[in-house]
Amino acid sequence: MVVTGMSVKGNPEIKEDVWIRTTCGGCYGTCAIRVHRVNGVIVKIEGEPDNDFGARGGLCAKGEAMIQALYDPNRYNYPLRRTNPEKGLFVDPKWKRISWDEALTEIAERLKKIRKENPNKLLHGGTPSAGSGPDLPLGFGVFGAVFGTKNWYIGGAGLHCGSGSHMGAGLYHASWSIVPDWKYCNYVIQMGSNKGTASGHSMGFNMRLAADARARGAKIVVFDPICNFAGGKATEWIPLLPGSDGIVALSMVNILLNELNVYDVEFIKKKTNGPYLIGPDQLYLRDKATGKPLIWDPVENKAKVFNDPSIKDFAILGNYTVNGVKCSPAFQLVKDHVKQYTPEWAEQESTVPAATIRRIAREYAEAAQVGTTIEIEGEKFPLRPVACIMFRGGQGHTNSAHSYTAMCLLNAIVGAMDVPGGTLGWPAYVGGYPETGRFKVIPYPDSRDGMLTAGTFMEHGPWPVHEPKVPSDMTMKELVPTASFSPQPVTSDFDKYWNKLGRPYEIEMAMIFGANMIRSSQSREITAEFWKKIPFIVTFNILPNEFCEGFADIVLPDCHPLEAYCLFSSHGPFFNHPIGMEGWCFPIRQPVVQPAYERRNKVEVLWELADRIGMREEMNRYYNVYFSSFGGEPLISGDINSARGAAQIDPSKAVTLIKPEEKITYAEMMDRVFKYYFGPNHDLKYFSENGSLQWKKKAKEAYWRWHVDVRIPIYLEHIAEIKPKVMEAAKQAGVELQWEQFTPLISYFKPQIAKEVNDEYDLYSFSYRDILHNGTYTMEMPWLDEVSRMNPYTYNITMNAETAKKKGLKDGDLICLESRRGRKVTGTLKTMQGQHPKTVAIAACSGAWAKGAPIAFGKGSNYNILLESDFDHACPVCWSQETATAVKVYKADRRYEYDGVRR
Amino acid sequence: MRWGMAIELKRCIGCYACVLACKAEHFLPPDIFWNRVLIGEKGKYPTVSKIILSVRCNQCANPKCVDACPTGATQKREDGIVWIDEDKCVGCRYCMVACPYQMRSFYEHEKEYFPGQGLTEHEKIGRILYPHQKGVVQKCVFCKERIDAGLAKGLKPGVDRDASPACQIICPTKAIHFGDLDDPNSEINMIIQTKKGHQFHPEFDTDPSIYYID
Repeated sequence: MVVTGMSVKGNPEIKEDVWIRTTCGGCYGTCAIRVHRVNGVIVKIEGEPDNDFGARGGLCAKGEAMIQALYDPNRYNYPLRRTNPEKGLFVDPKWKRISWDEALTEIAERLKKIRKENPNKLLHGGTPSAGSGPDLPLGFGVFGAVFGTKNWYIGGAGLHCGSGSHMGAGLYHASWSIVPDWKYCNYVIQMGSNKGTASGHSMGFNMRLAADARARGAKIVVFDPICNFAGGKATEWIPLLPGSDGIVALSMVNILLNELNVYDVEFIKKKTNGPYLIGPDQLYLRDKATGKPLIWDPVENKAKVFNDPSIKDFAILGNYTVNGVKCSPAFQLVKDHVKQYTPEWAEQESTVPAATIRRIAREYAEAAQVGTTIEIEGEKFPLRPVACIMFRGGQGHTNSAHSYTAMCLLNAIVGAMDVPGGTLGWPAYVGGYPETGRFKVIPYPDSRDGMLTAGTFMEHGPWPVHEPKVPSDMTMKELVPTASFSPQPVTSDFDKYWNKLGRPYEIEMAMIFGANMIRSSQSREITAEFWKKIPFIVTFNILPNEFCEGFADIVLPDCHPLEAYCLFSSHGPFFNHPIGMEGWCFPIRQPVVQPAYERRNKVEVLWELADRIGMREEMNRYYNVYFSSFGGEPLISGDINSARGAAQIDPSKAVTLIKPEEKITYAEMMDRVFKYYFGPNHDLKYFSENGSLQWKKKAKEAYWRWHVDVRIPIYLEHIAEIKPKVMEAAKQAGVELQWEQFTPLISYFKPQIAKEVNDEYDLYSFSYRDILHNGTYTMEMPWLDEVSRMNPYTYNITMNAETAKKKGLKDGDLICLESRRGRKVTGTLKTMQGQHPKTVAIAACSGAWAKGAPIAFGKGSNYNILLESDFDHACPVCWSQETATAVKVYKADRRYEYDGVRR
Repeated sequence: MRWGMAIELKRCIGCYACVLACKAEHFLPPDIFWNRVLIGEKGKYPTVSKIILSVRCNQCANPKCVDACPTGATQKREDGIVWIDEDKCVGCRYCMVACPYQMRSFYEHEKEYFPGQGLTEHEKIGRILYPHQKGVVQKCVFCKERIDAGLAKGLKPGVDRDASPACQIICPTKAIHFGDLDDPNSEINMIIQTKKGHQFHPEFDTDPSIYYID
């Protein structure tokens, strides 16, 4: 028998040889894959060839290594109960196997009690790890929202990945993050972003498209303290100090606006709040009758409401008087404000030579081709083949919000937003599946100021801007409406605030899934103190980790992505769907093998818990509202808080996909949703066989910016609006934030890291994403561990070669990084030419010590140990964490952070 | 017919997918790699660039390993693929010394991927589908089983996935091309010519079948 598509020696008995289509769980990119199952065993994983949702047949190493995670003998297979009452970083839980019924009975009892007393006593959360991320908002998040708790903690991934990015991408693109339109872009600037070369959402198609761009000669400029992933593929790598990206971006904006005079006037007039008149109080001048912002029409010489159909033109420069009030268009203020950001000042802060900044700005301005157009599918679009993007590294500092918006400004002033060649958010505009018109997401202008609002619920609003309030929940996000994910309450200053607020309640129970709250969160000492205090912790995990072992009371064995149905990985086009003219794709995630032992799909476990506590009907109602929102009208949009409002939605507006009293399975729900979105022929059977439904994207969907009447804020007026109320509410909670950052003018603020570096703690330490890893579980996969050991940087600590030499350190030395608060991390030194001399870096989030993860044990270093967790180390506007810390480096005689670990 | 590869270095991002796809395809034992990714640096701070090289047996037209093999285990096929007959190999490893590119591995001891925890289902089925003899040398064979089976079914190696090397089809950036170097009109020859592909260490006088494009 000739067997194709696999390497076979001899003539083994092959009883089964099938390929199943599903989505990858190597990271939360969820690329479309095909999985080979032979005689009941998974033997190979490849990318799905004829599908744009990924690398068109290609796949990264993490995807292939999933096989080993699936079959890891260390996996959790049964519910476990902790019998050791002691909790701590290195404590042995002394697991006892229990039955599912015993576990769920106890969990349900506690949940019922809490829900009756005060649902906020439940803390829930998780991190997109082991590919279970997609269940996070819509499986887990919904449970918590319907249960009624506001205490949601995301752990490491959200905290350090991009609270500034997500806030900014939401604000400017109605999306989760941004990428260059690789197909048409000629000039890319990446600031602390590894798009195209590392992990995370949209990884698959990013790798593919970025490679095409490089091959055809696109210029890629990478600002990064290290020349590794993005830097390593750059046309030009430019080193800079962590946290200084914002001033580099602002000085380039200055050069374009004030020296080169290059900017897209039409875009500013029609697509931004550039023409909105600003008064001396820094707020919009508003029409008395409608409350809407006013603009100045220079042709008719009068102020008008911004969307008045009689407007002949918009003034974006000049000074005017309206009803006796002196005012200027926001763009005039922005243009004047950035004058202070000279390349010389930027050089001082970043060490990037002023001449380089000027040159890059000039090249960018030229490449932007402002005013040109391109024809796509017979329709004309503005062509702006430049893109400036930023992710984790650039905005992972206490100046996060301003750094990110500064970078967005660079795109906005040349109109390079969601047009061909420019910066694209992940799809914000989905016109709908042609045959049914459903699975539709249309962004729209907010009703008051005309600002871009996402057509579906996603975490990052902020329109309408909520009123700042004295915090009533432990995340404290009510205080600052522009905050993205909150570090509270897992901080060293939380108790101070909660005490001041009178300690309204305490957390009695935590339900966490797919997370390692100890290793992926900043400072394990601070987090350990927090988790120790929680009386009862339930976790859903696939593999053992430091959090489960040290702190969980009950561990529930979750299904691996290869064992699970999942609908939610296909949702949220704004999260990871292919950009530009790449096709639409709605993929299925389905089990390739049945879950072994007693592993259960966490979403179905949540539903059983909902049954047991009498909450299933409410969850069904929520799902009806959610899916109906994709049917056309965004019944819920904005952030996850909107989920709590689902009960208030007029039931006649929601389609009843699930009857209130029904107790369906996950697969059944998927079948109904598929048919609702895509028609009766596209049921679960169809998706199981075909893997996905694909349809062509229209150019106006890909490049929607000029097809939707929305504006974006180049002047952050909403920040000026909320500032006084935030300050007042903060007083009551005893919270002091860096108030100067609550300014509507995008500015540069020295990051906390720059303030902490001194003569003794002279290096900026930072960590960054490695393509081989995602979260904290990939080091446990033997193949990934092998190649990590093969790579010179992945498991080592890197420093500039000259700097190391000056400190008497050489390759192979065991070194210690110590922070100003005495936190220590050790590892093996590898020197580099491609690293900023004032920095020291650790890739990924290694340094595992959990007894249940023997492959990962002791490999690499856990950078996060060095960090602090408090408001001093958070951006006051978006609450992104300061992810760089000042350290001194010296030779170590042992791995100090492993003192106390049981082996 | 001479099978060859062309690798576009601009596309490659060093993701190691090629390394693991090969390990998965052939159920390679722990610590054995048929292809590797070499990482280095060029230049001095601040003008630095990263070197990323995906390397494997070059299937040389003039293979030094074949000359060195005392038993005739290592041999070159008509289509240029250099392979090892495990039954004839005695594990002397002269070929490993002879290979100037260091692309061969010696499989000595059986190891578990999860030491001390037994073999997983995945490892067990590997011993059925693609067993490895202990005490012999092994290396990349351009996925000759896929090529041979594919050709038998009328498929085209380098074009049809099922007939193509595992590393080529897994590459997410499409950096690896595979085809017939003897066919002047093949896509791979066009790429090598137009993009100026070059062999590694031509001074070794091995005439490798893998070309690299800067």
